[in-house]
Amino acid sequence: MHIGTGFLSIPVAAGCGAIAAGAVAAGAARARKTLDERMVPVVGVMGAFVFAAQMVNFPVAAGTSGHLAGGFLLGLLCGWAPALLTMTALLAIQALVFADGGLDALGANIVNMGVMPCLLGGAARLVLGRRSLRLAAPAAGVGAWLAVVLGSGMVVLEFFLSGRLNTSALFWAMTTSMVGVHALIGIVEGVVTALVFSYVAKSELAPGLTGKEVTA
Amino acid sequence: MKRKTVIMVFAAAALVIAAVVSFWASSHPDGLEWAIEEHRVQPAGHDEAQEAAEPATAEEDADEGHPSPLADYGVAGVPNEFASNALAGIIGSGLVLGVMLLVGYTLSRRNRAGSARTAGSADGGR
Repeated sequence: MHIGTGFLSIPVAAGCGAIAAGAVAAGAARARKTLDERMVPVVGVMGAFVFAAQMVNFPVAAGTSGHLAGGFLLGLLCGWAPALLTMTALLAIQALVFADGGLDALGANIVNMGVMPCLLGGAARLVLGRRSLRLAAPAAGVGAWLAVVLGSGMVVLEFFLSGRLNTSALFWAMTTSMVGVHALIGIVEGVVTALVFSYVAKSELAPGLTGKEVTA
Repeated sequence: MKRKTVIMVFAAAALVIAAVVSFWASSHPDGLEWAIEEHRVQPAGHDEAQEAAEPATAEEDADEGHPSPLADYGVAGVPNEFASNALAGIIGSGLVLGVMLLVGYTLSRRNRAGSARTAGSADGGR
């Protein structure tokens, strides 16, 4: 779901860049206050895990593929602020080093795959931590699915605002394609998120997850 | 399970997925690339006539206009595809880990369990 070079207009690219920069600044301020030093290596390896997972494109219907996004999962496991900083670092590395995602679209990619899913994941963390795992794990999966589908809709909106979808037929065709294919991709995202959440929730990190010991 | 076990499991999973599993990743276009092709959405500055005369090569498409030795998750100059992919995966995961350790420790410096903020009541909390 990485937007490439040249698809966004300057106002859209700059607007998304401003939103991303503001959110990252807020995330850094929040992490400075609340990030427990013992959580730092946890956040780091989870970021490395998400980078690795993003490399694995799995086939979906009709000659398409998808890969995990991971922002919701990180928000759920680490809290929105460390999650957003991690997704920002990851997306910047992908764009700068791996030429994956346009530099002009970095702000939009951070908004779509960082800000939105990390905030949703962070909100889910507050709600789900106090529930039993049997309920919380599937709910986490549904949340992750929603974040992927919502992200695909945001891409279409950004394309539309950039003047790339200039007929309403094209706008709706693009919306249908994007939301449709990401509804499928999101199923894998949801299942993986539920499984990883279940694993971490049974570990020593669970107190942080359940909000008894706020780590981020 | 200890926190350290969780860290090791995630690190091991990242390594295996980045270096080995990702080699078998699907090369089909991802959802967005597919939708863009399907509906012929063009980036700015796209010139139909020029594109017809000299279609962009896969490499040009892959580098997003700023060539990198690691573009498209391979290391330029490494002939073995498996090694090239594995190296790119390890470098990328390692970079994310490294950056986040740097950022995380910088930001959390004052949040050691039992830091000055909670002095008197905390014993380190480990």
